[in-house]
Amino acid sequence: MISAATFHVITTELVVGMFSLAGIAYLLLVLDKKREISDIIAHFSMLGGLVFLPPAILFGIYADPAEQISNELLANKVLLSFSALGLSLGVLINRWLNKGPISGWLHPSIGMVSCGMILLVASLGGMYARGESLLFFLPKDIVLIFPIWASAILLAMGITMVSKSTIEHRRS
Amino acid sequence: MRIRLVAVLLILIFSASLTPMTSAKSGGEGDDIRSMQCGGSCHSDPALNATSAATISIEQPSSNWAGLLTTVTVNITDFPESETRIVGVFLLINDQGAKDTPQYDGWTIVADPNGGVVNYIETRVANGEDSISVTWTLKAPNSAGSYDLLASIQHGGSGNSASIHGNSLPISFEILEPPEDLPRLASDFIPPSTRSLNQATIITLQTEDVTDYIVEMRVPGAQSVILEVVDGSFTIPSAINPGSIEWRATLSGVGPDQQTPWFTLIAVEEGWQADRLELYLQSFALMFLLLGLVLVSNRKQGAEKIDLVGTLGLPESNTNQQPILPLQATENPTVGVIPVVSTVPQVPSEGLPEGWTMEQWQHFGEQYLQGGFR
Repeated sequence: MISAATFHVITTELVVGMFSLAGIAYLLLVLDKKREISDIIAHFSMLGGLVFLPPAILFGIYADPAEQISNELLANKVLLSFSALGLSLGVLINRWLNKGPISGWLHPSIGMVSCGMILLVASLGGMYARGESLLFFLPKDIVLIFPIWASAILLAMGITMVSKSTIEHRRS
Repeated sequence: MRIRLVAVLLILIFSASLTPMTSAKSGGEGDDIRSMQCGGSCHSDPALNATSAATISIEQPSSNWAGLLTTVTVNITDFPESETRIVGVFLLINDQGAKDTPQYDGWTIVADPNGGVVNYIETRVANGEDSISVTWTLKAPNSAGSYDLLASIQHGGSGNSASIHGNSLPISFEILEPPEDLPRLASDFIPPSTRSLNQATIITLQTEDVTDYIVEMRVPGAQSVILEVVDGSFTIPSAINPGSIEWRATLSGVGPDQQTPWFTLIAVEEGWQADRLELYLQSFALMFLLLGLVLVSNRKQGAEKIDLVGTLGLPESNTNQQPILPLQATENPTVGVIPVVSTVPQVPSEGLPEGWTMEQWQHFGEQYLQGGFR
């Protein structure tokens, strides 16, 4: 039987490849170069990466079935993956709601940050599996785990913001 | 533009040169139950292999009774130069690369040298040393007979070398049925293999055909001391630093006295741990929070567009209190139309550029008029 770790590798490679392409396209958008084509490439490749991101996260979780997570790199991978998922979803929803290219540097910059997070997750994976990474200088063993009540408050704030934004969009 | 392109290419080439072109997993694979050479992974490719200069030997089991605990020690000497000094050690029953773990012959791994229960462990050869010994505690197969054991190692070399590995010569030995009245540890007794720092360990021996026993404890390589046994239990003092101690029991009964193998108890510093629920809840919280912030940032941008209406002469308070556009559209349709018209550049008299839609003109018309597409 093919293990979850193998599926994790397959899906993460798809995610990283598509997000890398998206990141370059967002960089061009920030630099205001080739806006028309960059806009299409950035959002479609991010959408492609986003399709494979949840399976990559799930297979990664199944690959390490221990009750406790005992490695800081793994914890950072999970936190960064979900953060990137949130940012990417936001970028794509905004683009979809706008029904056209979004002017300014903020939107592509958020897209770039999201792509950077995914590449950082990939780097953490390399550090975890092989003990080496090009981003060796980053402090990857620092993890901030909030208490459950703090996470619950943040979750409530996030859901409120998403709901409010949805209601406002429907009204307009 | 060309200078930038050259700079980007140089950075990419420089980055590529930083990537080690190694075929071995220099950080190790992690302890696990593994067949030799990872059962057909990259390490079994002859083009990526080299033979280790180390000398590997495996000692005879400390006792040969079927179904009872025993220890097997692997000695590695003349360990060659290695960048990471990590060495992976396999305990195997043959060198076939498949169905070669001790479990296939009925062995049960009670404790590996790192305190786990696997046949492949990774350890580090100390700087300045060129030898290392590792010991497995095993429960022998229940059936008497002839058995083989073999040790295999893999490690990296200096620089970006290939995977280096080597095997010991196999040892053969007989496993015997124990006499009925042989003083022994109970078949379900599992000696503890790890413990936390600053925590004394109380062990209660479970035995069969035993009337009395004494327990010795030692730091590896040092003189042993006798531990006091009270009500069938003895206490191993707490450790203040990570490390290992060994203990064994001499069992007396009707049959001949028996000595258990030296059992290793490893004191480990409790590592970092996170609860999955806490981690996943925080992950979802961050996801929704960032999603919400991005969506809100877009709404704010939208609000700025509405504020443009205010600059056209509408009272500012209205923009905050109620939806502007529908209200203005009903009271004064021309005002409602102004923002839309003012954002779209005027279409040239010769019409839209060839192949363009009105939507594209809306977004890129201004750029076209400024010569951006010529």
